Amino acid sequence: MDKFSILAALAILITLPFVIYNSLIKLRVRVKNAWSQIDVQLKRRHDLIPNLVETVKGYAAHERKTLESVVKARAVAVNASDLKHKAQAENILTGTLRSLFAVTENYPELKADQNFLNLQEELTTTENKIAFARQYYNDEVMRYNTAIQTVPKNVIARMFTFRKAEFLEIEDPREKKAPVFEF
Amino acid sequence: MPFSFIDIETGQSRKIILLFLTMTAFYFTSALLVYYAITFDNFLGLIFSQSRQNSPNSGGYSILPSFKTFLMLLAVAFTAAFIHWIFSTTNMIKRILSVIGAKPLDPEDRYHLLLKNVVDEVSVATGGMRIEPYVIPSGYFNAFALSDLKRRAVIGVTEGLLTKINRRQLECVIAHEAAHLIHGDCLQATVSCSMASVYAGLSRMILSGWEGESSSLYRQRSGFPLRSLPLISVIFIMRFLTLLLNTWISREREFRADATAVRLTRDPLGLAESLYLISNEWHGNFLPVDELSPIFIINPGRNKLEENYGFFADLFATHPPIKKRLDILLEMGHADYSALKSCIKKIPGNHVEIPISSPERKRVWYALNEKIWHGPFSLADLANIQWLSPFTWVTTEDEMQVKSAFEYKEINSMLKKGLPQDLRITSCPSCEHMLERVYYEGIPIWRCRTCGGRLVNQERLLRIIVREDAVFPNQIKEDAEKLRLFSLKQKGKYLKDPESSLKCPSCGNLMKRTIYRAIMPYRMEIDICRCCDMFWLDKNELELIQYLIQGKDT
Repeated sequence: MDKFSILAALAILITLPFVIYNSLIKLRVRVKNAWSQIDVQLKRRHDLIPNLVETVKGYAAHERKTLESVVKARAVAVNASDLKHKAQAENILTGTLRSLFAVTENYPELKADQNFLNLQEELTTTENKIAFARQYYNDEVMRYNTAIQTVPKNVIARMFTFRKAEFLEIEDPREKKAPVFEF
Repeated sequence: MPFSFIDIETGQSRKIILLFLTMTAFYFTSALLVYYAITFDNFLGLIFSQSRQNSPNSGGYSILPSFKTFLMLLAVAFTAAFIHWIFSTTNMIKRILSVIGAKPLDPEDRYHLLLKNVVDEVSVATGGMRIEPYVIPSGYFNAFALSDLKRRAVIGVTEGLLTKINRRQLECVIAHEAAHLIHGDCLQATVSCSMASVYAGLSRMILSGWEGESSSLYRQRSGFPLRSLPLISVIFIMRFLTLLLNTWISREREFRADATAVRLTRDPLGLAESLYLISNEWHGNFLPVDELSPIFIINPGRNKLEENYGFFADLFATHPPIKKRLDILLEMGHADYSALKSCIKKIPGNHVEIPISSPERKRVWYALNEKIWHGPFSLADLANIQWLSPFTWVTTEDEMQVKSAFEYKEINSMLKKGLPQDLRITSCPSCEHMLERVYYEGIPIWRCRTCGGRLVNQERLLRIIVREDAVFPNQIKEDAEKLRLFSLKQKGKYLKDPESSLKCPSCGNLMKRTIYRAIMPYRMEIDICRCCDMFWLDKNELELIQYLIQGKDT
């Protein structure tokens, strides 16, 4: 009987690290998955911008400065590679887009263009999706980071060098919501 | 609390087994109770009968059933639970959707596009759950969520809600419904609803049977049907218990779903605003079955209990009082009621009829006939060519290769079914000028630029008349007054112009002249084509219908 309980305790001690390791791996995969969700939405936004610029050009050609800044910001965002630069570039892109939409308020003909309205709606929803995907990513990062820093998981995490994941910071708290456009 | 949809996926199978076991246990208890009821009935019968002493059964009565009976009861309970399960889970969503009259989205409707986008956004926030959006074509305010065992998830809102609230508020409503889906509430709700509904049906049957019997017994001067009393009481107790359980769980769920919705959108005020808006409007009394009410955001039947505090209200309402929910949300958002009331007004959209350019119109083809290339042809031109067959060689401007006509999707479908409707409709039936496609209140319709007439199909007209973006010209008021006077003078079925002279632009048949029934005391005569369900409205008539439907004349 005594032998049996010792054996049982040993079995638990041996299997526990595996269980913890697996759970950590699962969390890490989920962080990666959440990141790829953001990436999908960012790519969608990058694809939409050239169309938008073309449409706006047709009605508001002399807003060249604003249009150029959007194009430039997009180019920077597309080429950014690491996480920090990417976040920064995307934030700048969001800002330029917002000023572009502010400018378009002065062109009633543009606002009555079916193409422009579709693009505007697409961009608004994509911006919202980016915000939500970022929120989901940060939630997952929080879960993962908490897991690798709390007892007993931190022991296993240190043994197999699970690194902390980075949060995606938002500079402007109001940015969480994309500008709302009513049609 | 599950963190995201992924957690639900793993927990789902366990929950299903648990649900089934609960149901089996439920049936077992009821089978046991019925068994007791029957034996108790025998027991009573024995007591009252004169031959009690001589009966061989009188000594054999015991409180506990024998092992054999126990097994038999278990088998019965299991079968009953299984049948009930199969019955309540096959085609569950389809059945419920048809009961509440929900329809899939119209891809061309801009409001529906907005709904689809918002649902997609919330689905991103949940970590990628797939949700199908649906719409109930009616003017009241409500929203619901459904899910079944195959992980199909549906969120639906009413047309009225879609019209009246802004994007941010809509997002919160959808998030609330998505929260129900995340927690798997809808699945449990459906099963518990179906559990409850069986007993509700049974007790109704017995009650009506009893009433019929007692009236016939009255003539025979007989008393209370004592023999079926135990059975009735058992069923009533069961029904009462399920109702209690159902409502209590449902109310806890609403609070939890509110909390999760706030976690998803980080916007407690938006949810508070939409709840306030929905509760202040008519949220419908359309449900054919009470048991479906837990799937809605606000109880559709106008139940006064929902708005009360107190023991009984707390026991029997499926939704918590709105005030309680609002209090919690407002505290989260650091705001109060006055702020809420001031910010719920929806800014009316700028109303312009936006012309639609359809890409198909621009595409041109060239076709080969007797070794000579002809063209360029639009799809409408191709439809009129006599020599075009599925095997005619056809090419387009930007393509380098030549294909058979049937290989192009558009031409093939045109050859099979004729032109698509938006290409077939070209000229105005009354003045024969070109018709153009425009968005009116976000819905594509046809408009004649010259005479101002409009062509709408019936389904879309029903949606247009509840939307409130349109700005009415001053003349509408006079028109409404004129129509009122005219309606007073006109009597019976007689129309001013009984015969229509217009041909339906879609099918070419003569249109019919009738009165538009939705604004009935007002007699507006319009032309409709019964075969394609198209309405032809003269200038300003569409605005006039909207004006009257939305009650702006009072």
